[in-house]
Amino acid sequence: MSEMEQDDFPTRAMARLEAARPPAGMRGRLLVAYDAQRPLRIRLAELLWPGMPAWAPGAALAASLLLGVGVGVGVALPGPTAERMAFSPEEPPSASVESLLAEER
Amino acid sequence: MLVTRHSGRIFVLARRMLGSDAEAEDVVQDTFLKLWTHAARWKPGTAKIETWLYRVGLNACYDRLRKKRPVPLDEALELPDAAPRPDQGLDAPALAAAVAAALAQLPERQRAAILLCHHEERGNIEAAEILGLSVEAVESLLARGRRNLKARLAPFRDLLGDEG
Repeated sequence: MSEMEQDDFPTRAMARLEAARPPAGMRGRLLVAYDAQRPLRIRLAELLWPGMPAWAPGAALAASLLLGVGVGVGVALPGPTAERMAFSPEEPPSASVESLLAEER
Repeated sequence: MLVTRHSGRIFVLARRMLGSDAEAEDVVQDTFLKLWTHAARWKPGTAKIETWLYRVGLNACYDRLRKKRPVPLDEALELPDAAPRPDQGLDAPALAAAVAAALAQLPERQRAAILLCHHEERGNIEAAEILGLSVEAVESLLARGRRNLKARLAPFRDLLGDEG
């Protein structure tokens, strides 16, 4: 018998095997296992912003926190008003009486 | 998606190696869990992902085969032979059972080589990569596997279309 014929025998034998098909639901169970093994951080990120890489929701959260803190600090601390600047007792007067009179003229 | 593309093939290979749907599904799950946990460390260009999946799947099969407790000799003697006798008037399912039984009797590495090259139609080079062996070693395994399979299926040679 030739080498070719001999090689062909196992292929013919394998072709006689009954078809083996994955059980129904195997893919679903695999996807459940996939979800279960992912770290909580990544699952939360996926929940917050589906389809984006894990760093994106984190970066967005950090940026919004910084913005919030910035705005909050700006509102909470009263800024110097024009009046305070004009009559601040701590600061030396920025204009003399003579210069004001000269402006009047 | 990887699961859709590869899970079926890994299942079929594991099913042929282990002879059980449930165990084959466990192997598929172990294989993909390994893929997901190693994905970050994956180096592109090191191996085809399919080759890697086959290799991990086969190793999981070997682990399961080794863990299976050997059947005590007195029990083994009482077990009915799964393979039909050639004089039983074989129909297609009976012949399939005979081939499956012959395959199951092959040593695990020979079985894997035969399945990869004659069932999954992988080339010797890819089979060598999957099995972690040299091409020469795979050829040697294949030669022994073919010889063994042929000897075990000798009574069914005519039905399998073998003239030799």
